[in-house]
Amino acid sequence: MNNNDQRILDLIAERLENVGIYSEPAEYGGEAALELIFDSEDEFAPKECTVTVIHPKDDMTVIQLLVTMLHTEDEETVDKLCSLLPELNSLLSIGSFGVMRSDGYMYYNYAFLTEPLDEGSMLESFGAALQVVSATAIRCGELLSGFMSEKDGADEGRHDDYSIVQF
Amino acid sequence: MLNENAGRFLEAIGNALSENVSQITVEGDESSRSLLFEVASPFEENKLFGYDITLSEAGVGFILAEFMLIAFDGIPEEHFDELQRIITAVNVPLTLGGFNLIPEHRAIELRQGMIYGADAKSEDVAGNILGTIDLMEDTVLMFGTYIDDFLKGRKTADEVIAEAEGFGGDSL
Repeated sequence: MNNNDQRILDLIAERLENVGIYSEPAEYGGEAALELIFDSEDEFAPKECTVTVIHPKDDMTVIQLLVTMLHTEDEETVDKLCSLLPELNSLLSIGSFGVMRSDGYMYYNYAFLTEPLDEGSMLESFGAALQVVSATAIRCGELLSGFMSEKDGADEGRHDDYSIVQF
Repeated sequence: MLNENAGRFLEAIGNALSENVSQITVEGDESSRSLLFEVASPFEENKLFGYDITLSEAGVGFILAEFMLIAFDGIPEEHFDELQRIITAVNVPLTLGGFNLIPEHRAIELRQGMIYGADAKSEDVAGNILGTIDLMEDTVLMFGTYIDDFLKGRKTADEVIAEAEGFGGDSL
């Protein structure tokens, strides 16, 4: 984490505060991060969004938004989730859902390159992305809640009301 | 309806791409516009794979750019189920974008999206798009290898999944 990365996180935190979204400093993978908490007790609703700054190459800066969702150690549930994700992902313009089998949690991930955008354009892109990411994760939580409670499994439920509209 | 900002973005992107790509086709209508071109496959000599960058309006004052890179095509239908499992595992360590199987095209794409403010500078958007293309090509090279190993019969689906799940390097 260099000074510029911390500056990006500070700018994002300030921007969020200006629009009434509370974030707090956190740590992710040993690096500084920002954490946004979703206000829902529902099992399938998104839990938190972690914002980190990553450098895939020396001259490239990527901002990642990682939303953690359902956490489960039940293999059957994980298998069911894995069978749903490809179809959900095919509907998305930004981001993708996944399951981290080793830790047993489902996530929604979106990241974008910031160079050579100026700070204003980068913050504008971040703000728009956060809105879409949050709405997508919440909508997915609603869909999952229906699918996972289906007696006959995911295949039966997926045709009822199966849509994610991002834009 | 695409506004004039999308038009100037497209022009700047087309100009930037023309230095590296021999032929660019523009398709679209009033609501979206796509730039189609081809880049060399890292997995097969003399093979090209298709790139599609589509711009559309994303609410008032924003433009969505969708990047779709067809990394593999001509996939036999009998591999679809195993490939879905492989893709789910391979996508976990990815930072930028995600692989998707497109059954109707028997292809696998790497997809990424980006939202730009409509008043962003055209040259900055073009530079950002070129950088994103660069990262996507690196991602295909680094993580598409898992898929390629399976498709060419060098490894089984379970072997590839175990390797992808054990990936401990720096992601892209």
